[in-house]
This record gives sequence, C-alpha cells and structure tokens, in this order.
Amino acid sequence: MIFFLRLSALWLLIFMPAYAVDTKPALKVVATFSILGDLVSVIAGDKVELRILVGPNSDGHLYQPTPADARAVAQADLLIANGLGFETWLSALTEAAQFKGKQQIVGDNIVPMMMVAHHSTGKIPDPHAWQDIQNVILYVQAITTELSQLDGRHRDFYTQNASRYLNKLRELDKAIHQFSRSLPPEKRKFVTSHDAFGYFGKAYGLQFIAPQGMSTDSEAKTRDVAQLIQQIRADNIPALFMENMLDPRLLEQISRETGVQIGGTLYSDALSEKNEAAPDYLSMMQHNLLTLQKMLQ
Amino acid sequence: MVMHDFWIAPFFDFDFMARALVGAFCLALGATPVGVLLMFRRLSLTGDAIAHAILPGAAIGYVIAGMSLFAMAFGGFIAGVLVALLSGYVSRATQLREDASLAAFYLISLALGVIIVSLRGGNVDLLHLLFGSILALDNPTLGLIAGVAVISLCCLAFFYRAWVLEAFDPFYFQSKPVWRACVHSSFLIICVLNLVSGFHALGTLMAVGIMVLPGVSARFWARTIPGTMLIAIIIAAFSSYLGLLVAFYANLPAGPCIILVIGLVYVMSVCIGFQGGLLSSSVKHNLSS
Repeated sequence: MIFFLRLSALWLLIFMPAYAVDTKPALKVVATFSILGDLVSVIAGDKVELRILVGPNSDGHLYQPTPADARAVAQADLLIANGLGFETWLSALTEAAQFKGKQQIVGDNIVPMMMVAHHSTGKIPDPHAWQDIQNVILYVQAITTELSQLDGRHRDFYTQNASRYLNKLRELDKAIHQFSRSLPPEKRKFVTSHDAFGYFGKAYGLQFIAPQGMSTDSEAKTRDVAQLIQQIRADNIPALFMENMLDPRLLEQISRETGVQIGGTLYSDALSEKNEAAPDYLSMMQHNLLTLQKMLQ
Repeated sequence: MVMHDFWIAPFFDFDFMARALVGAFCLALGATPVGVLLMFRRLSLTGDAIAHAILPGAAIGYVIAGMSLFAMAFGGFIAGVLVALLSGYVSRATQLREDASLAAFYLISLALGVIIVSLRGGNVDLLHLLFGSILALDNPTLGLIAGVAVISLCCLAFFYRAWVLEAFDPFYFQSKPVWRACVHSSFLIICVLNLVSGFHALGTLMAVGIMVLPGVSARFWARTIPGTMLIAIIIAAFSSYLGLLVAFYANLPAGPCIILVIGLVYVMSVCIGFQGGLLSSSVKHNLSS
C-alpha cells in the first residue's frame, strides 16, 4: 500500500510540471465598472480572468474599494478604465495596491465632450462616453488590440469575437438613428435624473436635461429644481426618465408637479443584475431605445 | 406686490417648495419640544447618537423592500428604540454612564448600517439616506411627518409633567420602577419617532439639527419651560421658511440651508439673548461692579 502511494507521488512529481507548463495562467484583467467589464468578457470570453470593480446597479462616481478589490488590482496584468474623470478613486487605488501591470484608459481613444463643471468655472470632460455607440466601437477596438498584444496566443479568438460584436453594435447604432430621425423636433427633449446622456443626445440628435448636475454626489439645488420645472412646462417636454442607480424621489416629485409621466428607467452608468432589463451593454442600449420608443409612440 | 413675489410666490409657484415648508413646520411642531426636554436632561447629543442608530434599521428595511417608506421608517424606529433601550439598560446595570454606552451602541449601529447598505450594491443611496431630500416629499412621507407631529404633541400634553420631572430630577421616579420605565420609554419612543420622521425629510445628519438647535437657542430668551418650547417652535418654523427662501434664491441644497439659518439664530441668541446671553451677562457684570 505504502509502496503504491509512493509510486503515485512519484508520478505526480514527474508529470505535474508538464501539465503546469501546458496551462499557462490566463491573463488577469480588471475592469473598473460593469460596462467595460461586459466589453472585455464579450471579446475575451473565458480566456482571461476578469474582475469588475463597480458591479451592476452601482454608482462608479462614489465607489469605495474593498480589500479584495485592492488585491485583484495588485495581481492584475491589465487594468482597463474609462478615464475622462469617471474613476476619481482609481489613482489612489492603483498606488495603494502597488499595481505593476499595464493600465489602459479607453476614454483616451475618443473625442470627449466638454461640459461646465459644477464646482468651478472651468470646463471638464463628460465621462459618459459609452452612451454613444460609435465611442464604444473605438473602446472595443482598443481593448482588442491591447489584449492581443499581451496575450498573442488568443489573438485570433479575440479578433473574431470583436468583429462579430462590432457588427451588432453598428446595427444597433443604425436602429437608434432611425428612431431619432422619425421623431418630430418638438419631441426631442427629455428629463433624466442625472446628466449622463450628453453623448447619447449629441450622437442621435436628442436633448436630455437633469436636475442633479453632472455627478451624483451632490444634493439637488433648490433653484435648479425650480428652473427645471419651469422648463418642462414651457417646452412641453413629453417624458421623464428614471435611472437604475439613483434615488427616484426627486424625479417623482417633479413628475407630480408638472403632470408629466415618468416613462420608465433608463440605464446610464451601470448595467443591471442578470435577471433585470440590461445585463449587458447591447441590451442596455436596446432597453433604452425601447423605453424611449414606448413613451413616444 | 413685489414683496409678495419675493417672499411668498416661490411657495405658490412650486408645489415642492410648499411641501418642503409644510414638512418643516410639522417637524418644528413635533421635534423641537422633544429637543428642549433633551437639553434639560443634558442629553442633547443623545439625539445625534440615536439618529445614527436609525440607519441600520432603515437600511435593513431598504434591503428587504427597496425605497419603501413604511419598511424604512419601521426598521429605523425599531433600531432606534433598540439602541436607546439597550444603552439605557447597560448604563443602569453596569458602571458605564448613559452617554458612553449610547456612543458605543450608535457607532456599532452606524458601521452595521453602512455595511448593510453596501451589501445591496451601490452606495449612492446611502448618501441620499444620510442627506435626505426635503425637496422630494411625497404624500406618504408628508403623512408620516404630520402623523408623528400629532402623536408627539398629544404625548407631550399627556406626559408633560412626568417628562419634565424626570428631566430635572432623574431620581424622582427611583422608588417606582414601573412608573420610571413608563415615563422613560415613552419619552425615548417619541424621541425616536421624531428622528425617524426627520430622517425622511432631512436625512440623518440634519434631522438632529431641527430637533436640538432651536431648543438651545430658545434657552437664551425664555424663562419657563413652556416658554422655551414655544420660542423654540417659532424659531424652527421661521428658520425653515427663511432657509427655504435662501436655498431657492441662492440655488443651494435646502436641508442644510434650514439648519444653517437655525444655526445663525443660535449664534445671535448666544450673543444678545437676555436670559444669560453674552451681552446680558456682561451688562449684569458691569451693573454689579
């Protein structure tokens, strides 16, 4: 019996290293929030070990890293962030975790929209670039290039997945353009609970206004709410929309006061849980399109 | 006409301003007399502690039922009463004083609340819970605030004598434990109820402000307890109105504006209040010397 055990131990000693060499560890990728995480998992599937820091229905503006997050960042080969001022907490996290891998800021690949900062007089970039599908196409291309460079063995796999996905993105982009072109000009203004749809509006010729300013970290200001109500009355704005990760109470009050219905939930900064309407980027944009269509037709 | 436009029109033009004003008035009626009694019991900071203790209860309610007013108010109420009673028990059964044991319980409670909220994913809602939204009072919330104001005024009328006696002489009911428990817990329950309603209007941080600040300001103007309560209510109501106007014209968040205006009244009272304010005591000092 003991002999048998020793023999099998010997076998293990001889052959384990061979197995280990064969299964070189997968690339460790950290994506800062759910939408980027979805793009990575579409491109790379199970070929990388993916961790997402800010999960579904959570607000990336206000995230606080957990120790497990810091550990994941410390061990990561590639860290994918949006940039454009979205992850204000990121530099502190990479420094604290002594991140030594490669950092990719996908937002550097697009032309940012500038908007007025609410604490200062200067202009800062609007981070919500993924609301324009053309930007996401650039994101996907950049991520694919990066993954292929770091992990050449799966280059073909990544490129094939990406090109299939890019076709779907272009189709959806067309569908949203068709919808927005069909709207009469007076029906192109909407109210949402925070200013996250600047890119969406610009890309598809719609206008979104919001009571809370650009970020979600401030309490709404009194005069802003009053002005928004006046504007809704004056412009006959057809619909208000909620967002998945925000306190709905203020928007409900505005709806009561103006008599304009709340048309449903739009997803802006975070995907939903798997069993809800927008578990991935494509279905998020489809859901937003359907919600707008339902309200206006 | 211009006067009317400036001072009154915002409340007629905008429903949310009118609701905020009604909510704040109700809070002034219900919470400030409780704050006055807290001050006389030397427990002004207790309000602060209990307000933080409400958070995990509200958070559990939120995790179970989402943004449901009833679930959050009920959870908050249970948590607040539990912390108040537990810390009272610890202070009576051990040598730890009430403020110390309360501090211990509310800190535990607050940490628990933050963790429970973060389990749900996303911490934006926590911030909204902490800061409240007086600009978004819907009918159920207004109903809750008004209901709490009515209950606490009725209880004040009914228990007035007992509460005041206990505030000034904690040992008065020493020989009658049942009485003592009854008086003490009724006061705590009313205190927690008001904090829960303030929590929905102004958030955890500001709810204590409208409860405690008017009382400590009124102390500089009134000689009697009913007088102090009356002046405190007037200060709270007036400051709410003024604070909302300031918030409206200066484009600032409304809750903190209200509390800041009460804070200004407090500073003024400390300086020129004729019941022991700085000015009056220096005048007395000069007269006597």
